[in-house]
Amino acid sequence: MNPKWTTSLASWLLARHPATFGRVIEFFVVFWAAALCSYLPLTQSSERVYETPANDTTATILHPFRGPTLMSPMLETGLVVGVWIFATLWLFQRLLPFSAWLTAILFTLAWAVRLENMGKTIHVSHLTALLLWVLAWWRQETMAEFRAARAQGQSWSGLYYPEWVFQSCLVITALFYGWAGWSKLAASGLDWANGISMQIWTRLWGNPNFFATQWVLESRPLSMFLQTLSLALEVFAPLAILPIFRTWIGLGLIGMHLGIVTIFGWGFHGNMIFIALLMLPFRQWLEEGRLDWKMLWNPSTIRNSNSKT
Amino acid sequence: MFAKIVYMNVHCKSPPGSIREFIIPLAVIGLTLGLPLTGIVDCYPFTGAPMFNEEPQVYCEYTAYDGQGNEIPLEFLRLQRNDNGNPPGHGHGRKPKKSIDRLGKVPSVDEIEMAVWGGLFDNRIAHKVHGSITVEIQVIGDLNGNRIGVVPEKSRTQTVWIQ
Repeated sequence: MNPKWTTSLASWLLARHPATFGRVIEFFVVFWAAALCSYLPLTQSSERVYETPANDTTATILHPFRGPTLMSPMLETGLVVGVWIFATLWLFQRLLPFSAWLTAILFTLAWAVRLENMGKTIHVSHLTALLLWVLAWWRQETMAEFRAARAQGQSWSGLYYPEWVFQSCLVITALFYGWAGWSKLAASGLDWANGISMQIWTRLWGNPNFFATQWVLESRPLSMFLQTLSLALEVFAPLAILPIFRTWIGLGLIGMHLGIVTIFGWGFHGNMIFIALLMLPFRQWLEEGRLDWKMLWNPSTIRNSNSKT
Repeated sequence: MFAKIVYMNVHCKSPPGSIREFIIPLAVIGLTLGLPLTGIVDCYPFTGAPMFNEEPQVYCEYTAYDGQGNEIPLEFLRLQRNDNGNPPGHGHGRKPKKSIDRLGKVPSVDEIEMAVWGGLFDNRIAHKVHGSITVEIQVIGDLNGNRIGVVPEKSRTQTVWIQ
């Protein structure tokens, strides 16, 4: 490998940027992690199974620790409460980097415990867990820089956001969706997008009162088109690491998730927000000053900036 | 040991901008990409994302009645739906409750009989059922190339004699 090339790559990845975008995506990931954990106590009695034997295959990183302790609902509840406490501390920038690490660890364990005690699986929490680990590592590695920025009153805009944080989150998200597409090709080939299977899932689990559910059920060509589009977007999702494709793949995946969330109601809202933040040019807009998040909670800044111009 | 690692990381850091910063991101990316390649489909938080990777062409809707015409919960007869779009067997630590229902499959006469008997045996209610159990099996599949619905020629009603 050319050492000059690797040195420039390392320099690019290690370069520090204003942390505003990092703090925004951190807020959404941590907030969503805490919100997603609310699902666990609400579904403890309906989704956990106790009387069936253990599954033969690996399900989670807790596979080696299967046993009575792991089956305790109290363990799951305790982990969820821990997530809520440390996620709150992280959101308020307290006890860093410990609050960040503990949020990532406890969130991963809480969902691992749940999946170890389920007779079927769901994939709503995987991406959140992986992003939490990267963000916790970011906060640890740049702790001194964050403290210096905070001392100067620049805790949001200080230069402590390395490029690798953004690129890692982007690559992980792109690979997650890439695998979703590749596994469909591996299991079913191009026939996956036959339209019938989507109509079957829609009939089984779709919201019957939603107009788009009826459209899918009434039209095989529409169903085939949506399936083909989803497959293509997922298979080529890793191309989102290239800026030239990123926005288009992002828009496509957001559209796909809008369909999933509105027709089926499955909890991929967080993933949709992460895709939007990572693949649409929010970071660029923020760093160029074309988007000011303060407008969200202080609309008078819009009037002030307008009057200045 | 873990506390020591955390202490070392927080208090004995290398200078900002060290390639040491790549450790966790590279590990997470490597496992996200590489673990499914080893044949492990799901090892939360890593996954080969197998959701909805099958292409069912049909599925069955069941209704079961006892000899007096009372509806029997499908869970008692191993006919309940466990499927949620994820291929069963991956990503969950416990086996689902036994059922012969599976998207894409239409069970045979023998399979229905075995499931009903097995369910009654599992739930220890065989003695409460007199005569027979009638299972209506509606097969949902392609109707006209445009829509799906109940396919009459594939649907059937089956009686399972208990005594």
